[in-house]
Amino acid sequence: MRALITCAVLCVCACAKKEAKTVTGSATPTDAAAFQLPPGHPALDMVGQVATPTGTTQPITDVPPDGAGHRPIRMSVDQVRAALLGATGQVWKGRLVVADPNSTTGQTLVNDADMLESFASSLGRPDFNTSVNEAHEPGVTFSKLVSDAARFTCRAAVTADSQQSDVTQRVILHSVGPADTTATHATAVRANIVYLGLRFWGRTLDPASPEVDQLVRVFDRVSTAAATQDDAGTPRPAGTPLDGWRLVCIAMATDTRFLSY
Amino acid sequence: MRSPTLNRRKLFQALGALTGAGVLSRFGPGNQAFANVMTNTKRRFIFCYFGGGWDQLLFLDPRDPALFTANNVAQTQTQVAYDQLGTTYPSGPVTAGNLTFGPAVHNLEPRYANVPKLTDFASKIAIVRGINMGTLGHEVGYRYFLTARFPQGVVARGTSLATELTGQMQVNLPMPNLALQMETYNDKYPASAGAVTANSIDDLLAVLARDSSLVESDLAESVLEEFENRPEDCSINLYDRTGLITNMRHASNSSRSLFTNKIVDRFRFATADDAESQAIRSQYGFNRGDALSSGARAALAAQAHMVQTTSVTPSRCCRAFMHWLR
Repeated sequence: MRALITCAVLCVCACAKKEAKTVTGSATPTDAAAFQLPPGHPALDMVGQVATPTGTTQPITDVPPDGAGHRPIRMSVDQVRAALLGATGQVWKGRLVVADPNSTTGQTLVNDADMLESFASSLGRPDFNTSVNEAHEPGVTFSKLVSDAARFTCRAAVTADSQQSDVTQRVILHSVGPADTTATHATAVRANIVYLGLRFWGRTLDPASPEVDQLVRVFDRVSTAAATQDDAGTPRPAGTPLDGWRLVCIAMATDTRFLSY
Repeated sequence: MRSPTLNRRKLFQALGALTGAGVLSRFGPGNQAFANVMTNTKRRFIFCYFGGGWDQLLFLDPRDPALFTANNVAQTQTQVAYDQLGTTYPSGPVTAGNLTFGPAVHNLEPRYANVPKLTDFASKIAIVRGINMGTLGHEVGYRYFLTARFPQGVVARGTSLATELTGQMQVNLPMPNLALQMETYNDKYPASAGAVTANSIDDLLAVLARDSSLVESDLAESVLEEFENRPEDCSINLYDRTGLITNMRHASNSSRSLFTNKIVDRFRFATADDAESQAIRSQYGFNRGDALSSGARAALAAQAHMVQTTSVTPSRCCRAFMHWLR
């Protein structure tokens, strides 16, 4: 108890009135040495200014010691569904036995069930019977089912785009034609990936950046693949640009930048 | 460069921090009773949660009705009321080995005559008759029970015990931790130690296998895997303060290993019509397609053991214990 009282007294002393600091309003850089940037990372211009009650501004100086920014959160199932719908214009539909109170068996086989809705409980949505809080654990279940959702919606989106003559209505093939390859339209392919970067991740990518290079590589390898047979014996036809864009779409929709906020 | 200065404020801040650390260290992690968990053992654990179970006086924490009578309720503050159970249950506590159970442990109706009895396994059972939960709220108590740490409001803190075990044992298995219709938490271990969660066996099958229409070619799958495991971009990792991004990447790789190991074949017993699945349904007493029955949950726990799952947390799997102990 004595130790607690001593601690409390010291805390009170430490919290005594602090001398008022003059706010100059100048854009002085924050001490970036407060945390370690990855090797080779350019200096951060994340400090910025914050308005004070007196109308002046002062630099933000509360950069956490263990890194920058807020704590990222995994999307909820409803957010994933809405984000995929927004990015691809599609919803994961599938054949599934779902609960049906009007059925004599309590279940009905639905051919176009909303799969994310059906798996919502497993993906963390509370059922208000055994749970009332949304779970945001980034576990295997989330990874697998969201990957399935991305695969379905990307396939449907690319197929729809390939049949859409009005370029302005396309969601994936925005700056390229269905038959454009890197060999024939290298700039257009990069421009489309930059567009998808903004569409999926909300980021403006530099067309010459390593990130775009990686996605171009994804597109190239799949769109130019020769006809082959999988290890399980499934024959696979030669790759097409549509296959390449489908894979780019899946890669972006399963990236942590898409699935967290 | 500024030279460090010492003023009254900083002095008291430092002294306060030191004193606080000294006080808190008495209760800190270093003094908590953590058992030494052996790594890579073959021990397996099943956690069953029975929501809405029997009153403890009727089941696991009975009282002697000769001492706790209706006449001294005012003194004991306890009314066992065993005489009000009728003829469906024994008239008082049941002793098995050195354990005493309440009358609810035996249902005397003829239809339950062949059901395994918990008392048959008394020599293999340990009962903790009470834990101070510190709350009357089910949500709070539930999460306290799961994590052994008192929640903040109704929000769980810490890691589920099943995940704690899996994490400490450092097992390297495709699906070391499985939770069925249960909340599970992981705030410090890699995603590989976290539970594969499912709300039903059907959902579990969807997690463990991929529909053929969604499977890409081998080449495309390897391209996707390569992209996911590309050299990490510092602009992303900068925001990985809580390990979320790292865990999401680990989880993605873990899900691939589930396909590689074809674990799903072990869990098709509820709907498949092969001889092995039929035998499993017969042993655990449920019909084909009845994946929500307690027998199916018990079978799931047993099948998880077959694929070396370290921790299984199925809800309401009353048969699991019986078959496990046999």
